[in-house]
Amino acid sequence: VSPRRRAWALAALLAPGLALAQAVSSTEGVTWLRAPATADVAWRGMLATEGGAVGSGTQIGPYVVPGPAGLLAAIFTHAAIQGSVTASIRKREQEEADRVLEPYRAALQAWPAAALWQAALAGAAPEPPLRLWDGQGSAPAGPLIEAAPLFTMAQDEAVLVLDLVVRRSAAGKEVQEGVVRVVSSPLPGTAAIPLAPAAPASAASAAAADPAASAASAAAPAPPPQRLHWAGSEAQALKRTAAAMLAHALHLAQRHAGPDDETVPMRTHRYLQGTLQRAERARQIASTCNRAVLRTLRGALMSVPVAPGPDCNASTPF
Amino acid sequence: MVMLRRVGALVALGLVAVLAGCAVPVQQPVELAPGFFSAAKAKGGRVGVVMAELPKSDTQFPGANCLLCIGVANLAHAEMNKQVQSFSTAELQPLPADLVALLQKQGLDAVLIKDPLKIADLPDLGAPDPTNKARKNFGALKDKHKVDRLLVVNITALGVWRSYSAYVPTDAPRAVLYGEASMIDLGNHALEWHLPLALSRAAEGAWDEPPKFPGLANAYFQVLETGMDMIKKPFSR
Repeated sequence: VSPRRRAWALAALLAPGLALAQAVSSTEGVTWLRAPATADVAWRGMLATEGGAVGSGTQIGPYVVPGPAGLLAAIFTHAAIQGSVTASIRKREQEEADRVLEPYRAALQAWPAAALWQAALAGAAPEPPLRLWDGQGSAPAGPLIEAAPLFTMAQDEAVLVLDLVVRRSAAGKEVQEGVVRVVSSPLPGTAAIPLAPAAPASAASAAAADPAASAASAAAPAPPPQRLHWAGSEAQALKRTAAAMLAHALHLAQRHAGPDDETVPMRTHRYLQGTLQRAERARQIASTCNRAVLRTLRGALMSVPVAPGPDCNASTPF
Repeated sequence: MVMLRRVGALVALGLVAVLAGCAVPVQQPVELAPGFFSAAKAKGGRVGVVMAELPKSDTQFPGANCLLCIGVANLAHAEMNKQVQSFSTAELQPLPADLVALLQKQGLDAVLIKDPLKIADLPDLGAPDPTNKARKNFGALKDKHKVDRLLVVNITALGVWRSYSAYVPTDAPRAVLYGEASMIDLGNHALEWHLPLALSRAAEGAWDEPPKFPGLANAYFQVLETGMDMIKKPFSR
């Protein structure tokens, strides 16, 4: 083999390595982010019972238990029945709950996951910087965050909840897994918004002028103000809020990856979920006058809106 | 023969007494009357606020109604029992002081009664018609603390319960709070307000998370908050 050919072969062998070295040097200090391979963003409706239902659950009548063998049979039969009943009930309830997304379905289906991630990363400005990795080729050097978001809309359409499952890995370090939950802030004037708004006084005179329009409006009830807020301009507000929540969750996942201050006690924190007050047993690890970041008993991170004080001027983009 | 008849009569009498005991009507909720605060202010007098001794957080398995069933249920939930028994009740302690503050905000002369109170130790009132009357006689507190009304919070059970059918669990465990709260006119022991509390809440997601059972612990503290909110609500308007 001629020396010239040998040099070309060597160059061809080294080229990918050189390119990789160049890429590594330009991405030094970068944390890589891998999104799920799915093309769509995952959305669901909040179950009416979510957060814990008050009352008692399904009761199944007493079994006749003839001896130890009968006892075992009863337990396994019960477990099988209860398991399948519960699974089918849950599936049906979730399908019912998902109907809340119908007014937004078309806009959300036209919004690919890639657009969500790009918008979130553009708005996140996380430190250290995050860069999307599509999962092609060999794993990049540096820490890698795999994140899977799930957005939930409350039945009154006034609240969005993001649950971001995060898996963080880095060479020589233990893999960390966790969940970051972000609850959206109450919509402006939510407390004053009735869920079934009465027709405005001027509607009567308008109806008199246009009986056809009156008949149409009687057939289709007016959408709630929350829907008008989210759904306008192909659900731009909904998409913008979802991206901002994802950016915030990514920031929290980075910012609070380390251990918390154990001296801060666990206590019951009140927060707002739209117009409702909720409680969570947790450790507060950060706060502003209108939002608190909590570490829950399960170790998840939660960013929740709290009732702002009279002097609070802070605002969040979601 | 006469002896047998006597025994039979005694058994019948005992049965009647037991059934009569069961026949005491359950006290229904009593709403605070509109204008209660202005009427109470006009009438004058002091309102004492007291919380009966809190039970310890514990587990129960209603429906496991034989000794062996209870043993099986306890054995199956040994780790959960231990954890539930460690749940704090400290969150409820500020409740009476909060109620005093709310009543004072409404313009009433309210005082906190700090003496420990065991409702079971009080004598029965024995009113001929128990409807909308306190079941216990709180006269001793009226004299001792010079109060005319009493706001009593009586939490009777706290913890985690799981319903059973003999040996078989029929549901996931739920955090519970049982009890009642009442405003009693000590002049006649009439209930001016009565709120029975029977709250339960399941863990969000999975419940079987030994050793700490965080989902159930969270549900437990959520139930406490809900209970306190319900008791404070009529006095917060």
